[in-house]
Amino acid sequence: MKISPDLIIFRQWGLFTLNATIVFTWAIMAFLTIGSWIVTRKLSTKTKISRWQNILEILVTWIHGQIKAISHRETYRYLPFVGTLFIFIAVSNLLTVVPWYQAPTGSLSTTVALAVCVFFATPLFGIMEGGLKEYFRSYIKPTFFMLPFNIIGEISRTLALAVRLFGNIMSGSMIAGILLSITPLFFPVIMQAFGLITGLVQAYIFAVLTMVYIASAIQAHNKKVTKDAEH
Amino acid sequence: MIDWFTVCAQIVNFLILVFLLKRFLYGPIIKAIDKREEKISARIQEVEQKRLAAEEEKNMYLKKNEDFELQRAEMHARMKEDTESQKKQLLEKSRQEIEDIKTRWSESIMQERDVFLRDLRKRVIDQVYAITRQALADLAASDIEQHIVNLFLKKIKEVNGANGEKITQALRDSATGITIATSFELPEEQRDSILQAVRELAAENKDVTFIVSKDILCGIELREKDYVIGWNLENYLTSLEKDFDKAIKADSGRIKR
Repeated sequence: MKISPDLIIFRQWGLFTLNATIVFTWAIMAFLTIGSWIVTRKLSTKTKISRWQNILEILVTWIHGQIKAISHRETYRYLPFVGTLFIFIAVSNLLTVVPWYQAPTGSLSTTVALAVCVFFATPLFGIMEGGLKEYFRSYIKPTFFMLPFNIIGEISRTLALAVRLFGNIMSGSMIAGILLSITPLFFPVIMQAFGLITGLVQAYIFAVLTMVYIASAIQAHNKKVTKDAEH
Repeated sequence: MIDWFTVCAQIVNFLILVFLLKRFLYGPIIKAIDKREEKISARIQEVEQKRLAAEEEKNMYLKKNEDFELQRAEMHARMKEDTESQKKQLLEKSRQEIEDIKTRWSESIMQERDVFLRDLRKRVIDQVYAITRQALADLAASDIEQHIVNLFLKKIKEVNGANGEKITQALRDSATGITIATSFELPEEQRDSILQAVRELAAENKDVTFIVSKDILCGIELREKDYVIGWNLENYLTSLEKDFDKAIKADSGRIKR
């Protein structure tokens, strides 16, 4: 039994390794892209719309609603990043019901990659919102001495983000595997079902936490704007 | 545990996925939603406009109705007024016509009365004349003409006093001459006695002309320019006529009332 899909290697050309993580990620990417393309190539702007368009609209507006609730902004700027995080993780986790499938999110490499993306995206959005100076000033608030703690906090929460997702998904597969060897008939199915819920919850947690980080990054600018308005 | 090549590949994969989903999912979906919202808001706006138009039209019709009601009331009032005035006019006209008819009727009555009186007078004269003639003939075997002439001669002889003087003087000075007018033809004998009486009163050689006049109903008159002496049955008749007239007037007054 392999703990990570990284270890399932299909091909290797020196440094380039084609493992299960990458292959299944590509599969998910293809699935999402083709699915989206099929549905959105003939979108209706009338009041009567297709079932699939309806589902996608619900999904997109729901994600947008969540983003709006957290950031208090009426903007689509964060939707592609946060939305993709949620959809990718959720689909990746939900597809575990498919036989021989290995969730890419069960690989620490994937979760680290996603956390790294969040790690860089957060300051990027903060800078986009309030400018470079304003963003970096938030690190020395309330005092200069808070700088190391802020930096440590930034890194540790990224690490936590990566490990949390990896741990949950990996543990779900592990428990299913272990139970399969102990009580092969009934429990693994229940655990698999639990795994689906856990997968969705994890996707939601990951996306929401990302949005919270972004929101906190843009908060500094927000505070300044409010202050200016008060004066 | 961490394969750094996989991490890099996954970062790239994720970024590609972000781009692809933005291109194929979020973009079109948001665009469609926005377009639909735009359409809906446009439709709402259109409905609102239509509602406003309808409201306006409703108000216009209400106003028209009000105007119509007002106009109707006005026309009704005017018609009533016209009818009233026409009624008054017709009443006035009828009253006038009745008044005219009444006047005409009254006039015709008056005319009839006049005709009747004239007729009566003539008949009475004829009758009185005939009766008197008959009575005198029966009583004294004399005719009425003789009595009239006698009465005339008596009257001439009675001309005296201050008034008589004046008359006598006038007769004497008369340039036109004296005319004796009678309602009947005088016999020679009577003419002579009258001539004699007149000449005694005025002058011997005064011209005296005898004429038969239809003006005199029954009598004889001496006519000079300013004076007339004579006897005429007409005087009695005039008195009778006056009595009749009075009686008829009293009657017609009762009719008028």
